[in-house]
Formats: sequence, C-alpha cells, structure tokens
Amino acid sequence: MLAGFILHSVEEGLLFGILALGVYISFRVLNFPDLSVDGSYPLGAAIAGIMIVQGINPFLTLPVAVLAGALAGLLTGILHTKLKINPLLAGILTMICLYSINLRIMDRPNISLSPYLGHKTIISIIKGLNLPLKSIYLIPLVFFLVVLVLKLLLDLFLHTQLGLAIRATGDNEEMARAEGVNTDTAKLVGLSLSNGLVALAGALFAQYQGFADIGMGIGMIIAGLASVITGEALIRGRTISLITMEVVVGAIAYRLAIAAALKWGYNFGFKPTDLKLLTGLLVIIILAFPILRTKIKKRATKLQKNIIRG
Amino acid sequence: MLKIRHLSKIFLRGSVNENLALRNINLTVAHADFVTIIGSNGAGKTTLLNLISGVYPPEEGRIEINGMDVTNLPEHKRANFIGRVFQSPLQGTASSLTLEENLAIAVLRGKKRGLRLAVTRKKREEFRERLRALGLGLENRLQERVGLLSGGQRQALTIFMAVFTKPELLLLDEHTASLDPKTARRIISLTKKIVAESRLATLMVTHNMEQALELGNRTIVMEEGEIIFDVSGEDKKKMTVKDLLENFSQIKKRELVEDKMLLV
Repeated sequence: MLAGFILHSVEEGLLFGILALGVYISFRVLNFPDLSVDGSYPLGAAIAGIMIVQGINPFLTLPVAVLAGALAGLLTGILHTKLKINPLLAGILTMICLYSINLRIMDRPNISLSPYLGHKTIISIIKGLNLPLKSIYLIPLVFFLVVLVLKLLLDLFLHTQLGLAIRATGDNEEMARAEGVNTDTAKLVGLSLSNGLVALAGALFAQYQGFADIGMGIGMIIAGLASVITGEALIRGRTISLITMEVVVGAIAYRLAIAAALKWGYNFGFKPTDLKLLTGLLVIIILAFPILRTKIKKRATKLQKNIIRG
Repeated sequence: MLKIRHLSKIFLRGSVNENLALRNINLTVAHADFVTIIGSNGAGKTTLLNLISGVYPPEEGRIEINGMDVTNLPEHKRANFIGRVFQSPLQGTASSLTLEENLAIAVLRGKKRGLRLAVTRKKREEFRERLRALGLGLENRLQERVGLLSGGQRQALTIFMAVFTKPELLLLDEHTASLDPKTARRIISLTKKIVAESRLATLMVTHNMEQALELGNRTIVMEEGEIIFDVSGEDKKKMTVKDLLENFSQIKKRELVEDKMLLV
C-alpha cells in the first residue's frame, strides 16, 4: 500500500520534473518570471486530448504539444522584447489568451481519455507491451528514462554557444549585450524552450491521469517553482548538471510532500481541495526561510547576550 | 576611425525633468589614439560612451566607426567593433558562469552562436595560453565561477575579454573608480600595457586629473554636455594638473559671467 503510494507520487513527480525543468529555464537561467506556464501546461494536455480522441498515434501528440508550447513561449517573449511589456504582465497575457485557445482546441472544458472508450494513450500502449516487468514498475521506469534524457539534453544545450548566450543574458544582460549577444533572441529561444517542456509535461500528464481539463493549469507555475526551490534547498549544486538534477529531485520531493499532506492531512483537518493552499504555503515557507533564519539567529544572540549580562 | 558629428542626447524629453545630456558633440578619434575624458558629475562623459556603444539612440547626430555609419546599429552588433569595460567589476562579467565560459562568450562577438559546444578543449588551451601572458595567475582558475574572483581580477578579466577579439575601439568608463588604490594602479598599468600592445583607439573616462594627463596622447574636458577643452600631443605632455584647473576655472568663470548677464 505504502509502496504503491510512493511509486504513484514518484511517477507524478517525474512528470512534474519536466515541468520544473521548463520553469527552471525561465525563472533561474533567464531570470524571467514567466507565468505563461499556467496556460502552456493545459495547452499540451488539450492537444494530447483532442488528438488521441481523434485516433491519432499518442506519440505524435508529444512533438505537436512541444511545438505549440514553444509558440506560446515565443508569444510571451515577443510581448516582452518587442513590445516592451513587463515580464509578469506578458506571461499573464499569454496565459489568459491560452485559456480561450485551449477551450477552442478541446471544444469542451474536459476530455476523458479511457481505454474503455477505445482511446490509445502512451500509458495504455506501454501497459499493453507485455514486458516481463510489472507495469507498476514499468511506468515509473519509462518516465525516469524520459526525464533523464531530457535533463541530459538540457545540460548539453546549456553548454552550447547559444545556451551560454542565454545563461549570460539571464545573469547579466548589460554584459551579454556588450559581448555581442542578441539578448532579445536569447530570451525568445529560452522562453520557447521552457514552455515547450511545460507543454510536453501537460501532454504526458493528461495521458497519465486519463483526462485533459481546462482548469489543470491553475497554479502550475507555483508547483514548478516549488519543485525548483525545494530541489535547491535539498542539494545546493553549483554546476548545471547538478542543478538540473536537483530540479527533478525537487519535483519528486514536492509531489511526495503534497501527496502525504493529502493522505494524512485530513487527520489535521485538511481536505483534498486544500492542495493549492498547501502548495502556496510551502513556497512561502521556503522563500521566507533565509530571512526567518537570520531573524531567529539575531534574536538568539541577543537573548544570549542578555543572559550573559544578566 | 571614430567620427562623431553633431551628436545630441536628451533624457526624459517633453517632461519637467527634461535633461539635455549632450549638446552638439563633434569628435574625431584617430587609430591608436588614447583619449582620456574628464569632467564633473553630469558632464555627459558616460552618456557619450553609451551613445557610442549603442545603449540608447541619440536625438540628433551621427556616429561613424571606420567610415561606417553605426548610428542605428543595435548595441549587440556594435560589439563587433567595440570592447567595453565598466565602472563596476560586476558589470562586465557574468558571476554565475565560469571564467572560461565568460571568455567563450567574448570570443564569439560578431559571430553566430549555434549549437556547438561553447568551451572546447582547443579553446581552453588558447584561453590558458593567452591568460598566462597576462601574468595574473588566472590561467589556473578557468573552471571557477567568476563570482569567486576579486574585484580587481574581475576587472582585469573584463579588459582581457574586451580586447580578446581585437576590436577597433576600446571604451573604458571609470573602470578603476570602484577599486582600492593599489588595485586601481595595477589595473591602470594593465590597461596601459594592453592598449600599447593592441594599438587600438581608446576612450577612457576618469575622475582623476592626474591620471587623465598621465595616460594617453590626448585629453578632453567635458562640462554640461559639451567638450570645452581638447589638448593633445606635445601640449598635453607639458600640461600639469594646475594648468588644467586654471583653464577649467577660466572657462567656468566666463560662463558664470555670461549667466550673470542673463540674470541682470
């Protein structure tokens, strides 16, 4: 029972890891608080949902979702770089536009994907392979391999000439331009890549949970951010490959924490609907931790001095 | 080499805080000219450098580098011809990137940035070789993050990066102002060495009159958005800080008199 619970959370955590890698690119590499994620995540899900319902090969939904997500990121990027709209506002504008676009794509607020309705998803195909490994271990293994490949590709990309230009833009825009980096292009590429990954996560998650829903993007940016900062708090890596690893580990830890809170939380009066509240509180606590720590330390030394004096 | 014609810059145009930062600047700098620029705060020194490097566009005027009109060229494209060093060591380098990664960004100035690995073994060797010639021991710290270097080391690295691709023009914006005196002297001698070796046209903004007269072959003085004094060659060599101050106060006095006349 507990093993099943943990495996389930790890599966979700691995899919969230893809989302978190996307959020890492915008928030940390580019230093761009991109809120379009709340729209590009259900965008990927919507595309996967409608394609599968129409009987298209579920593997084909992935590149289409990535492409659509990249376009969403590009829109945010253009709003910011060409039209000089503030990053937060640019992301929110894309997000709100995507809400209607996602409804258009799905043609209804919810699409159910079920083997009983004859829908073929990536999950149902993997389960139908009849491999010697039991499917409860096979699914997390496949997810793990997918995330691993994406992580390694991202590591590699961030060490290319273009990847370095994007990192420099996020670190020090003035320097990047002085060294001949087209910082507008760097932002556009980074945001496209970020939202492409986020939409990929959405497309996979819809197939994993068996439905796509117009509301499934709400608070995803905070979930992604929670994964990134949880990972940073756990590992504190300095090299790119360590940091991307901690982002994925953070996503799994975050899902485990949330699942545990939901499973046992009702003893303390929590309800499943408190999920977003819990996520919000978790992010607030982690963000406030450094400040609270110094304050507590100060108070402690003050107390100590008083005791010595007294 | 560098030719500036009728250059004017107005900040916050049309508002109550409208500020005419540069008025009708004309300046020609020859190849291998080393020009020091002094002037009080708000004289327009940094504005001039920012206009040359394309941080913002001028309201009027024209900037040419090697006969090519660059007035409307975006900042990152002008970086092909211009190396820059800023006042704060934090400005010219990226702290979270390693030393070799910072260099790898600098070597691609004016080139396309693609999906090839940025730091190859061959490049690393080249960096090591050339950093060794600099004699600061930085060649042994290629894989350290730049944030771990001291201010002086970062500024030395910025100068090194600025001239690595042999640009046409070097712009130094009070690049020793935020360093301690000893480090500042080391950076100045490094600047001298690098400018002499590369023989590129250099504009250096400074607050220090002694430094302005000691370095370079030409000194210009700016005040309220204008070039009010320009000395070079033998005249400059003979010039002392006292002469400069006298000159300066004479110009100031004349202006004061004119202002008074306006008030009357």
